[in-house]
Amino acid sequence: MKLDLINVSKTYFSDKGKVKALEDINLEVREGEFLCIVGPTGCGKTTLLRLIAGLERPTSGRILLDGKEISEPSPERALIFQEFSLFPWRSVYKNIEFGLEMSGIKNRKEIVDKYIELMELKGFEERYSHELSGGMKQKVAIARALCMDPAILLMDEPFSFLDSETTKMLHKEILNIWKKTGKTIIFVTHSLEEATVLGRKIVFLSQRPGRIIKIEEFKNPE
Amino acid sequence: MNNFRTNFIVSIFTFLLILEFLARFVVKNPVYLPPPSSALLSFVHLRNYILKDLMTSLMHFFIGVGFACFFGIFIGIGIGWFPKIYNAFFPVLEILRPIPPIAWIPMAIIWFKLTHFSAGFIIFTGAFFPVLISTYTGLKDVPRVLIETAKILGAKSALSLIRHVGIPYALPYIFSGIGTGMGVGWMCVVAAEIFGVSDSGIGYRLFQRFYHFHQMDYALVYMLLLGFVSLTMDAIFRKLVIDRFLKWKRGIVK
Repeated sequence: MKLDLINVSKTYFSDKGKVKALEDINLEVREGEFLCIVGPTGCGKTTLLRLIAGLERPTSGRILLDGKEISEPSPERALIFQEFSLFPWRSVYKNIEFGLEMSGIKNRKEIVDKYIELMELKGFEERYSHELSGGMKQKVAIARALCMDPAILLMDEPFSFLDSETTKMLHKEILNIWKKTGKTIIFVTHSLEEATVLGRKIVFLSQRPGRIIKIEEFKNPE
Repeated sequence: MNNFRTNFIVSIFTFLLILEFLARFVVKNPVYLPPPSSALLSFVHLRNYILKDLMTSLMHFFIGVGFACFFGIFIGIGIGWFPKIYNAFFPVLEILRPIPPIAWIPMAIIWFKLTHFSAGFIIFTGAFFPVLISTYTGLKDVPRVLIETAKILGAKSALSLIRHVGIPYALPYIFSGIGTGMGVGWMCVVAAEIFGVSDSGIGYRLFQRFYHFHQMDYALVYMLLLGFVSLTMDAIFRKLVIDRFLKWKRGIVK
């Protein structure tokens, strides 16, 4: 699946006036790419992910997935939020199962178990959100997204509330998953360091309104 | 827990002892203040009435609280989730809310005549708003990130979002509203029965019989009964509902 952003702009209108968040974004993301978007706080990088996720629509321009315009949220473009997003009334297992349940998939246990294994969550199935560390919560959120077999995994500074040790560990895991599954990953961060650890291609955004300053590609990572 | 129980018993006994002392040696008039000991003895005299009165009152109570839960939760979900429904309903509800249940008695008699539903309606007006307001608050407070997560994971329609995110999130709020509503509803039982919808019931007996004949020791028995029943219902409700359905809240709430 190929993602195309063509002249995408986003302006927010409120009582206080309008704020231009993104301006003229042109970007092409190929299947299996690990793309990092870096920019200062408030540059519109979260907005960019929300647009791709379909949670918001661009003010102008088009976002196409395999030539089809994105119009609403869908499990094929899973977004991992910065804040913790587990359903607190559901156990770890039930959280991971949520999307499968919504789609009415039958052999859910097999799929859920596979991703519990992959994210090393074995033994935590019956725990609730308030019993988990921040790192575990994000791992569950990733497992929950992955079991819907998304075409693109969107990550919005998912590790920014975690300590540096946990973050390092999760960086490794994310790279592992990327290698194992070959998913397209778009990872947003304000930290250049994080971007260079993870991304094979880095997009630099400017201060608001966010514009693409440059795109760097690394041929031989590590 | 044990500590709590001991404390409970000691507190009540001390209170009864003081009351007994005041009644026998200070007030010395059983109409003004019947001694608790004679009130306890009256339980025996009243044995033929108590169960029947209690059953009648509980019936009124459950009619009122039942409808209050149904409409409170239903409308609460509507105004909590859909801003348009909120805009349509809220001003009206805000005007109705401060009207005390007793003020509804004339309307209740006209609408429902002297039936059990008339008493139920008075209890309903007391129990409805706590259920409504907490259901509304619960649904309005659902964090945006949970709704968006559910959308991304494939919950499309408003109905499915309410069912899988709104209601589960709001459940602790709803139950706490029902708890409060039950408390307020029970306090309305006496008011609901004094105008004679039935020839039994705690409120009926208290007002139409004991008060008329100045049987204040009997009245005291029924007053204590009102307190005791409410306490028991609250304990049962907690045990049955809050502990069972709100596992995930443990460690957050208590």
